[in-house]
Amino acid sequence: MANGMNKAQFNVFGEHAPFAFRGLLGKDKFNQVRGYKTITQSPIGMGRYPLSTRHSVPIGTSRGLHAGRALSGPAANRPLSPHLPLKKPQFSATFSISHRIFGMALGTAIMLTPLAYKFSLQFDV
Amino acid sequence: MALEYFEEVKEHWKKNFSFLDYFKKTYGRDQPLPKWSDADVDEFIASDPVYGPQLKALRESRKFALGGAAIGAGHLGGIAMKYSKAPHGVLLATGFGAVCGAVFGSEVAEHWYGLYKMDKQQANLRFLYWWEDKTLGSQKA
Repeated sequence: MANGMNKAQFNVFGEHAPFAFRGLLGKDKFNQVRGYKTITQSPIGMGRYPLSTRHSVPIGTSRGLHAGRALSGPAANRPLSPHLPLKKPQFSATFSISHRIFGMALGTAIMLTPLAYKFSLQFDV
Repeated sequence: MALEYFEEVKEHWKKNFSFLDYFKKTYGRDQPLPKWSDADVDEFIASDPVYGPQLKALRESRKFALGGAAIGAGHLGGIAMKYSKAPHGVLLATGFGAVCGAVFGSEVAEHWYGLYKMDKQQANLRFLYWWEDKTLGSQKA
């Protein structure tokens, strides 16, 4: 290989890289066509989403809840497989969630009662 | 003999919890007092030299609590909106921010107006006594 060649074009696997590494390694014919960002182009120290094409966003920064792989348009309203209407409610699960809901309500009531008294003195009369 | 002792015990606890009698002025009525307006409160503030200024300071401190609630709600709700698009999460965060902001705001007001020096319940009750005499006193006399 000539010395002037870009290091990114070197790939130990050549064209037969494992599928998982397709986007990460240097420019093989798959990457070149699709323009994937590879780890040779971005610093390895900062982990970035390997299949991102638009902009390079570090992993772990603020993103919306469903950013990343969310679909848009009509495909986003696709039917999901039902679980709640199907599975027969069992005593253990029902007890557990009702216990949690009751605990949250009780905790809220306990914490809001002294606050209500404090503000009633301020806002009454 | 046991009955008399039981009566003594009841008297003891009635004395201990005597502060609850104050609530009879508001909740323990047959007919509720006629509703007062801000003008009536201002009249009382002008008339009473001791408790009037206290009540005035208490009413001024409401702005601190409301402002604090607005700031807290905006701050925490904004954080939730920025980092999570879940609507229930944003709602809960806004509510909790409002509560915490209101507490912090009234704490600031407590020190700004010196509310820690006064008996707030007494200030409110004095107005109620004055209002009661004003509206019902004429009927009794």
